[in-house]
Formats: sequence, structure tokens, C-alpha cells
Amino acid sequence: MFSETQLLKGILEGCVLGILSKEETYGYKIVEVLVSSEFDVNEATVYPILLRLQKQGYLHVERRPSQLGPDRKYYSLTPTGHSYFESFKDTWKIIKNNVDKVLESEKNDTEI
Amino acid sequence: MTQRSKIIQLSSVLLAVCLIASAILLITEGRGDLNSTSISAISVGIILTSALSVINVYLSKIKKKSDELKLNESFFREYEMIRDTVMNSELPKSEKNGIVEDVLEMLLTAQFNGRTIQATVGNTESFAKSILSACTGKPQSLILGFLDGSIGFLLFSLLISLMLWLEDFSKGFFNQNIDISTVVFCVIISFALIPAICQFSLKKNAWAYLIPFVVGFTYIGTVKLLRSYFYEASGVKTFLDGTVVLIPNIAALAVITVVLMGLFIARFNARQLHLNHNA
Repeated sequence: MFSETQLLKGILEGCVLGILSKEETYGYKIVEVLVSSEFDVNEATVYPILLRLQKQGYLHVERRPSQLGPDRKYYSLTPTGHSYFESFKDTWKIIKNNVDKVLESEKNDTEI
Repeated sequence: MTQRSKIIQLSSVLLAVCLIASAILLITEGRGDLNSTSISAISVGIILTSALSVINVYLSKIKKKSDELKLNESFFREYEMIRDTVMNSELPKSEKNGIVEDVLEMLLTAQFNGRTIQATVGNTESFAKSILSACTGKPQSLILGFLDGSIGFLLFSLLISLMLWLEDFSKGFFNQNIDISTVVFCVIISFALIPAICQFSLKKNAWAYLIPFVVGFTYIGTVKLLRSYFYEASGVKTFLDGTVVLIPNIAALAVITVVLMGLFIARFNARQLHLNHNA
């Protein structure tokens, strides 16, 4: 069966940027949004992505007190993060279009 | 207390007991040619350091902090492994603390929302590795390992010479003969044992923490075996009874100091390169 892992890596990064482009939020909420969109992910998948994006300067982080104990990190996009997200969307459109074309042509060949 | 904590604490207690027993033997049996006041001072120092190291292990690794107490046993078991892996990594201390705090908050939130630890982190070892990979590009570089080993070996050499000198001032600091077998053991500790111990936090099997005893007793056993059955074999006699003076004069001490400083600087630069690998 086709492994989703490699394909998902870059796409998930884009989706995390997409979620953060709409609102400032924290890790658990990001996981919830992704799971509700039927992505098979958990905190262990999302946290390293957030860490990497933060290190690359795409995310702004603010620590705020949480009822549960340690401060909670709230993430939002930096201006560079917004540009990076726009470039992800453009790239995604091209890839999606190309893949659709290939899959469609395969479908037509089979029908002929 | 998790099984992992119990084993870590047991390992620290066993090490301390071995050291304290050696120190007591040194005091009671003594060596006629050595100054008894120096021996007593060194032995008391060893006993105190051993006892303090057990307390340090308890406070830094075993005793739970207030927020950690909120995690249930299954969450804490996995958190402990991630925490130890991050804390043993090459990251700057502030970054390590930040990541550990993030992970604790993340696990508390997941637990509060009724998720299982399995659903939250999946494979803990992979998760810990992916955190380090996100920060550094790779868990540990060979160059850093070699530099750490070299620094460790030089510090061991200095420490052994200093201890021997404290035992017997009359011979002078630059005339201390160290057994070749001891030097070989220091090389094994610096380049193999310590790097291996640092990697143990990534392993689920906490019994690996007891490996220093296995290595120590195996080494002693091998030396005994060589002395009993292979003493006349070429090179064995030199290995067992031969001695070297690691720091023969002030010039050697100056060279070691300069090399040590150079290694520290090289290590700092290698670490920065390592950390910036994926930045």
C-alpha cells in the first residue's frame, strides 16, 4: 500500500501554516483541526513541525499562563511566514493540477 | 516512581557504594608509603562526592516537579524518556528547558482532554528523535563525540595526576606514574562508555543504565584473567605492570592546557555548526 508519510510531510507543514494564517492558536488546537479534517496525526507529528517553522522564523510565539500548569505556547504567522504560506499555496496548486492531469489521462487511457 | 527511575536511582546508589567501599578500604588498609592525612582527606572527599551525586540524581532525575505530578503514570513514563533525551542533547540549556516545558504542557493538555498517551505521542523514541532533528538536523555528530572524548580523556589524565599527587606530595606533581591499564580504561570510559551512556536515554530498556557496572567488572575480570593465565605473553606484562608519566614537566602541562582550550573552542564551534545545520 502507498505510504502517506513522505507525501504528508510537506503538506502538513502547509496545512499548519494555513491554520495559523486564520488565527493565533496552540498546538493541541492545531492537532484537533487537522484530525477533524481526517488527517491521521497527533501531537508528536505536529510539535516538531511547529518547532522547525519557529526556528526558520515563520512563526511568532507567545507564552501565556495555562490553567493546567506550565505556560502554553500560542503560535501566529510572522510576515515571512505569511509569504511562505502564499508560496506553499502556489506550489500546491501547481502540483495538484499536474497530479490531477496525470491521473485523469490514466483514467481516459483505461476507458479507451 | 517508574521502573526507569528506580533503575537510574539504583545505578547511582551502586556506583556510590562501590566508590565509598573503595575509599573505606583505602583508609583502613592504607599504604605504608603514603601520607595518612592525605589519604583520609581524599577518602572523605570521595565519600562526600559519592553521597552528593546520589542526592543530585534524585533531585534532577527522580523527584517530580509540581507540574510533573499532574501527569498520570503512563503519561509520566513517556514524558520522562523524552525529557531525559532532550536534556542529554547538544542543545543550549535554555532551549532544552523550553522544549521540556512545551512537551509537559502538551501532554498535560492531551491527558486533560481524555486522550491516551499512545494516541498522543505514538512511538516515543521516534518522537524524541524528531524533536532533536527539528532543532539540530541530527541527534549527535561524530566530530562532537570525538571532541567530547578527547576533552574527557585529558581531564581524566589531569585528575588522576592530581589525585596521585595529593596522595603523596613528596614525589612531586610531574613525577606521577600511572598504570598503563588505568590509561586504557580511561580511553574506554572517555570514547566509548560516556557516549554510550548519553545514548541510553533514547532507549526504552532502562536496564542499559547498569552497563557501567558490566563494563567495570568485565574490565577487572579481564585484567585478573590476563594476570593469572597470560602474564608472560608478549605485551601483557607491560599492559598490566607498566606505567607512564602523563604529565612529565611544566611544558607538558602547558601543552595539555592549550590543547584542552583548543578542544573546548573547537567543540563550541562544532556545536554551533551542528545546531545551525537546519536553521
